[in-house]
Amino acid sequence: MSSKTANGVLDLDLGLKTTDPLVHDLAARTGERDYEQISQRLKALEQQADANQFLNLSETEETQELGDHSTAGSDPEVSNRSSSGPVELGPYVLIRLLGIGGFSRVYEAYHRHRPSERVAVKLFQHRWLDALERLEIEKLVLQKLNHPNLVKAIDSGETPDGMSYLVMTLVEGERIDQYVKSHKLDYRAVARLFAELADAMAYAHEQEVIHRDLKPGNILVTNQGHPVVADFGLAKRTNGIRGQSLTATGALVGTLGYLAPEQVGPRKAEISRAVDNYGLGATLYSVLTGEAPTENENLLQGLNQLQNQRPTEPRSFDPNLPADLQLICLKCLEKSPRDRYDSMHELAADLRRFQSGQRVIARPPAVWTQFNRWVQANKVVASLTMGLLLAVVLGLSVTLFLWRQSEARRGEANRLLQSANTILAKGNKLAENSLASTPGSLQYRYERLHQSIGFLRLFSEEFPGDFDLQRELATTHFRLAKVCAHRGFYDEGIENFEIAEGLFLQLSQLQTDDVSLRFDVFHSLLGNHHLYETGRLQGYHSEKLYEAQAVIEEVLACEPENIDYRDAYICCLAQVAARTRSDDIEKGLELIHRIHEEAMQLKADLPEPCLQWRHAGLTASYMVNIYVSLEDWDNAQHYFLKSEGLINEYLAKASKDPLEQLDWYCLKLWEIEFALMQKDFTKGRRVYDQMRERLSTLIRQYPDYHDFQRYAESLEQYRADHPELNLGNAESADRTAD
Amino acid sequence: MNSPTSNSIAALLASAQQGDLHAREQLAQWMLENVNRLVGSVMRQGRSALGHSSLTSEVLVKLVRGETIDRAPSASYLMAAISQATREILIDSYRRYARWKEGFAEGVPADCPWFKKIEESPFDMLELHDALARLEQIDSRKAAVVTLRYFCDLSLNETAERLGVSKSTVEADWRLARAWLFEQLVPPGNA
Repeated sequence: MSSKTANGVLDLDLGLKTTDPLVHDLAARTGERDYEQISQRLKALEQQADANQFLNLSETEETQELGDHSTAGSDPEVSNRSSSGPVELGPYVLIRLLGIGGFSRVYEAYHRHRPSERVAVKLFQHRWLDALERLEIEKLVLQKLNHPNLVKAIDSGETPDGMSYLVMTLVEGERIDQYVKSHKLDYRAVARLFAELADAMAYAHEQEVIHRDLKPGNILVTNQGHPVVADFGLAKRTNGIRGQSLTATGALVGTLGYLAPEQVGPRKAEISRAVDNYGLGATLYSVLTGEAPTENENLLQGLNQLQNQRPTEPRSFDPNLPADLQLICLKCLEKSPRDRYDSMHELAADLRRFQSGQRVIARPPAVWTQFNRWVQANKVVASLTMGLLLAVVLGLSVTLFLWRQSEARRGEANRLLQSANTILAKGNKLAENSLASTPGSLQYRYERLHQSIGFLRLFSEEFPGDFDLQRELATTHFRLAKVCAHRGFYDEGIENFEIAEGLFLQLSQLQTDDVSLRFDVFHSLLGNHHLYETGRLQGYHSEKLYEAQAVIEEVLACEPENIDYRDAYICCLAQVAARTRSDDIEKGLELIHRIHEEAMQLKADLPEPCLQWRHAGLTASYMVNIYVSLEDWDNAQHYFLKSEGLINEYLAKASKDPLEQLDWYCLKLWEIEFALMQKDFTKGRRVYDQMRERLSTLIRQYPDYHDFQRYAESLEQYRADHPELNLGNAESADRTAD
Repeated sequence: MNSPTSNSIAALLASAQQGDLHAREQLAQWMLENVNRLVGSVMRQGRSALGHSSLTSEVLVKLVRGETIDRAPSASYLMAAISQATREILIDSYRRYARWKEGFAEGVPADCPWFKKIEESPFDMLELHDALARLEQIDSRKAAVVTLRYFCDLSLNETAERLGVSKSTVEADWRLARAWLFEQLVPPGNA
C-alpha cells in the first residue's frame, strides 16, 4: 500500500517547500531559520511517529478491503435466503417486504402456528448505537401503549446471528392523505379523523411517549375508517433516561417537510410533546393542500424556510377551505412550541368544535408574535433600528461627555455629536418607515421614540445652538405624538404635538427661507386638532384648525405649485368647510365645492392611485354630507358613488397606513342610511354586517391601534340608535326560514 | 447529477455567494453527495456509533449551521469543511461514549469497534482532534488530508480525487502533517 512506503522509507525527501505553512510554523516556534535543520527535524519526527505507530494506516487499510466485501449487500442474511424459499425469523415466516427505513426493514409475516393471522415484523439491520437504542425504545414504547388508534407490539426476539426484531399488529389500510383523496372526505370528516388521532396521541402523551415523526406516511386509515399511528421508530419516552442523548435528526434527510422547527433548530431545544402537535398539524396541512408545510427539494433553503417562514396559507391552495380549519392547522404549525395547542386534548376539542360548527379557540398569533416575526424577516432593518443603534449612540455620547471636559477637543466632540445625531436620525426614520404598517409594533415604537428623545435632549443641552439637533428633536416629538394618537393616549399626544409645534416654529423663525419647517408646523397643528376632536375635549373650538389654515396659506403662497402643499391645503380647508357648514350651510357648500374641484384637478395630474386620490374621494364624501343635510338626494348619490370609487381604488392599490382603512367607514354608513331610507332593511343589515366583519378583522390584525376599537364601539352605538337594522336581520332570517 | 469538476464547483461557489439560489442549490446537492459518500466509507469501517443517515444529517446540520457556503473562501475549502464536520461528529460521539464510561453521562454503550481501538491506542484521540483543529488554522488542506485518510479511511487515490489535487501532493501532505502532529502530541523528550 502506498502509505506503507510513505511510512517505511525514511530517507525519502519530504518534498518540503520553504513556503509550506507547516515549515513556517515550525520555524516560528523553534526559532530555527535553517531550512536543512527544519527538514532534519521533520524527518526525525516522522521516524518517531513510525516507531510509535502514530496514525498507523496499514491495519485499517487492510480491513477496508475486507469491509468492502463483507458489507456489499446491506442485508445479506435475509436477501440471500429469500432467493431460496421462505425466510424464517424465529417462529415467524416472512412473506414480503413492506418498507425500508433508516435502520430497519418491515416485512409482512405470519406466525408458524397461526398462518391465517398476518403481522408486521420489523427487522433491525445495524448494531450501531442508534439502532440498538431505537429498538429498545420502540419495544418499551409499544408494550406500554394499548389504544385502538396506535399500533401494538405483539412479540420481539433475536435471531441466532444476533439480529433483533419486533413483531407488531399489521395495519391494513391506506395512507391518510390517499385515503382522504380516494374517499373524497369533506372537511368535517377530515376533522373527525384528526380528532381521533389527537385523542390517540393524547393517550400516548399520558403514557409519556412522544412520537416525534408524525407524517402522512406513518398514519394509516383502516377499511373501517379509523386512523392508526403506525411507526414509533423515532419515539421517545419523556421520563426515560436513555432517550436524552438521542438526536432527532435521524429522519432529517428524507422528511424535513414534517419536522418541527425545534427538531432541526440552531439551538437544540428540548423536544417536547409540542413536536407531535406540529407533526399532526403538518399531516393535516398536507392532507388539505397536497403539500408538506416545508418543501424540501433544497435542504438549505428548506431548513431556512422551516425556521423563518410561515407556511403558505392552506386557503391559497383551496379557497373553499373553512377559515376555522385553517386556523387550527396553522396554530399547530407555529414556530414556537408555546404558541401551539397546550395539549393534544385541546387540539382534539378544537377539531370537534369545528366539526360541530362551533367557534374554534385557535386565534391568529398574538401581537408580539407578529412583531417578532417582522424582526425575524427584516433582520437587517431590525438590527439597525433596535438595540445596536441605541448602543452605538450610547457609546458615542459617553465618549462625547468625556471629551467635553477639555476645551481643546471641542471640535472632535462636535463631529462626534454630528455622527451620533445622524445615526439616530437615520435609525429613527428607518424604524418609523418600516414599522409603520407592521402589526404589533406600536409599543416598541413608543418606547424607542421615548429613548431617542432622551438622547436628543441630552445632546441639545450640551449643544443648545445646534440646528439639526433641534430639528430631529422636533421630528421625534411629532412621531411620538402620532404613535400616542394611535394608541389613544390623547393627553400625551397633544403635549408632544405642542412641543413639536413650538420647536418647528422657533426653527422656522431662525431659517425663514425654509418653507418646509413651516409645513411641519402646519402638520403639528393639524395633528393636534385631530386629537382635540377625537379626544372630545371640552371647550375646544377648532382654534388649532384655523391656525393651521393660516400657516398652510402662508406656505402655499411661497410655493403655489407644490403638490404636497396644495394637497395639504385641500385637506385643511375640507375640515374648515365641514365646520363652517354647521354655522352657515350655503357658505360651507360653496367652500367645499371649490375644494373638491381643486382636489379633482390635482388628481387629474396624477394618473396612478396616490394620496391625492384619497383626498379627492374624501372631499367628495364631504359633499355627500352637505347634500344630505340639504335633502338633495340626487347630488348626494352622485357624490357618494364618486367618493366610493376613488377611495376604494386608493385603499386597494396605494394605501400604506392601516388607519386609512377607516375611510370607507363613513361611506358605508351613508350606504346604510340610504338603504334605511328606502326601507331596504335587509341591505342595511348586510352592509352593517360587512362593516362589523371588516372592523373585527382590522382589530385582530392591529390590536394595538386604538382607533379600530373606537370605531367598532361607535358602530355598535349606531346599531343601538337604529333598531330597524335588527328588522333587516329578522326579515332575512324569515326568508331563510321560508 | 454528473459530478462537476473542481472548476465548475469554484464557479458555482462564486455565484452562490453572490446570491444565485440555483447555484446554491446545485452546490448543496454536490455537498450532500459528498457527505453521503464520505459517510459511506466511515460506516464501512465501523467508525461511527451513529447510523448512516444520522451521521449524514448531523454532518449536514453542522455544515448548514456553520454557513459553510457563505464562508468558503475557495472551492477546496468545501471538501475540507465536510471532512472537518465529519470528524467533529465522530469525536463528539466518542466523547459521549467516554463520559458514559466514566459514569458522567447516560447513554447506551455502542457496539463500535472504533471506540475499542481508540482506547487501546497510546495516543489521546481528543488531543489529536485538538491538534487537527490547530492544523486547520495553519493549513486546512493538510488537515483535510489527515482527516480523510485517518478518520474516514480514504486511500491516497480517493483523498486526492476528493480534494482535487495530485496523489503525490496528498502523500507529501500526509507525511508532513503526520510529523507535525506527532510533535504536537508528544512533547519533546517523551517520545
